[in-house]
Amino acid sequence: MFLAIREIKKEKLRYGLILTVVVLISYLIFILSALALGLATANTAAVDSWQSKSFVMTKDANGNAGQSLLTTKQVDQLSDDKTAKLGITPVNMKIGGKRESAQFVGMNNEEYIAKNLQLTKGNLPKAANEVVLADSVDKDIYGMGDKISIGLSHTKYKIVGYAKNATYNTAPVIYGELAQWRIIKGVSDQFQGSVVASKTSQSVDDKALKTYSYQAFINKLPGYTPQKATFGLMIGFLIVISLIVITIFLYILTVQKLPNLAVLRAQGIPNLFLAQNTLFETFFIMATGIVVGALLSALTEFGIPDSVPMAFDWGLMGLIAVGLMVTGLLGAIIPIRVISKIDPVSVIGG
Amino acid sequence: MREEKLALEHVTKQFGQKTNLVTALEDVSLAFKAGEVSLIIGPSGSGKSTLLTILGGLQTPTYGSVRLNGHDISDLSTKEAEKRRLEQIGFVLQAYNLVPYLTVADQFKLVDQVKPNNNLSQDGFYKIIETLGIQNLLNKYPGELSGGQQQRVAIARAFYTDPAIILADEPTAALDTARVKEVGQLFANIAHDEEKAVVIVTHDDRLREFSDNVYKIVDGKLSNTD
Repeated sequence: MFLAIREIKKEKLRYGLILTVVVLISYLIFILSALALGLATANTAAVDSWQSKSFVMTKDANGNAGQSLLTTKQVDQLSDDKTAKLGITPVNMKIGGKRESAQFVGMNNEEYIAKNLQLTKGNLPKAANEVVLADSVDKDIYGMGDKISIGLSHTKYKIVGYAKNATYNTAPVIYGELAQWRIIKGVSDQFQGSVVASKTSQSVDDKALKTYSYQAFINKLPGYTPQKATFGLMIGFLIVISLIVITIFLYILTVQKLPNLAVLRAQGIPNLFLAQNTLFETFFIMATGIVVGALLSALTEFGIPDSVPMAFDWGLMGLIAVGLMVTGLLGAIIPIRVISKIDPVSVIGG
Repeated sequence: MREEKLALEHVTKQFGQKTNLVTALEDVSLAFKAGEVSLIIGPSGSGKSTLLTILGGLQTPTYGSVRLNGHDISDLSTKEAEKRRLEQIGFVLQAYNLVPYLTVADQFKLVDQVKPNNNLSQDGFYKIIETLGIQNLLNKYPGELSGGQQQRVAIARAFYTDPAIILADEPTAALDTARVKEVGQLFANIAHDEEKAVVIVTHDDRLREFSDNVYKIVDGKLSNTD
């Protein structure tokens, strides 16, 4: 620690540069994690709010609720007091000259999903032409009491409330009556919904149907899994890059100091003391870089526009910080090995 | 009779094997006593530096033994050899003696970090830095000092652990004649006043007048003594 602190103090430019690189890497990792989490949340927030353990839909839909059509018979077979029928379809909602992509979710007010819905304002739809919108929509455009057009329906729907955590596959959700789903989607009345959600695990005998667990349902959301994998890879690569950067930097610094370190070894300064200094130096660089990166990320959270889906989970950030720190300390292994191999004889005579 | 501090007995050092075998030192026996300055002179490649590294426990002899304060140190572990060097031997080398990012004062504090006890007292420390004329350089970095000033700080640093033996490798290589006389006199004073054994490996004949013994090494053999 003694040597590390003084070296950092004396070589401000050198350490300032490497610190800048570590700050930028950790900042990038935090921002990417927040974006990944934000996008994941925008994909799954509505599904999470339904608090369901399993979902049944047609096998041919391949896990895409918007493609599933359940017949009255199928729905009746599955329904009990722990299930909720949902009609999900991607739509355009229109008001004035504005159009926006959304997901219509038809539900029954007597079933658990509607009962569990957390409204930030207003009430559940009580009439066929009433809807509740995601509270993330621009309320200057979609104001309380305003009327909107949805999908293929000719009905004008009145906004009677806003729901919390109401995004599905990154689009805002429009909650309405289940019967309206058929009209909006333009399907015949032999179909009763697209998904039967349940608070418990469901098993189905009908070979045309398939049960998805909560996680399987989420993973089947269009684009969700590749998006998650892409972000995971980017974050992984950045962590590896930080490992390489810190290793190269410490290695070069150590090689530059070899004659001085050899003299110190000749003078009897223990190997362990020199290794501990390198380890502390690494810890200092990584800890400072991570803290500054996290502070910059927190500042970014305030400045970022609402249209960018970012979510900061400080628990996750903490885990990433620990990962970065461990990676940085691993980067000190090679320089420490170089120090342990120094031959003090090399500085004597010629 | 003066106390023997460091001694080599029939020391041979060989490098390589079979046809590549090189004998750097051959059957060298020497003893260095407290209160004496000993010069080891000889041409380049004669084995002087090898001798110094063996005396300092940085290398072990192929044959023979090395005694430090009466204890055989020929076959110590790296850790034990480090400890002996730190506690009993002060090294002054030709270059790179000082850590570039430590002030002169910190060069001594570094020693306190690894050897908190039995270093020079505060009075002893100020006496030595005044003798060396470096008392006004304590807040300077090595890069701000001349070659001569750096070497004087290195000498003070070697004395700071209050070692029984000082081993110096070409300590006057970077100094002008006036400074060589100062440094030579300093080594002599410390050896005589503090009862230290000072061993200097050098090409520099200007140090002869300050020495008590001169040993010449040629082709790895002790050729003659003055």
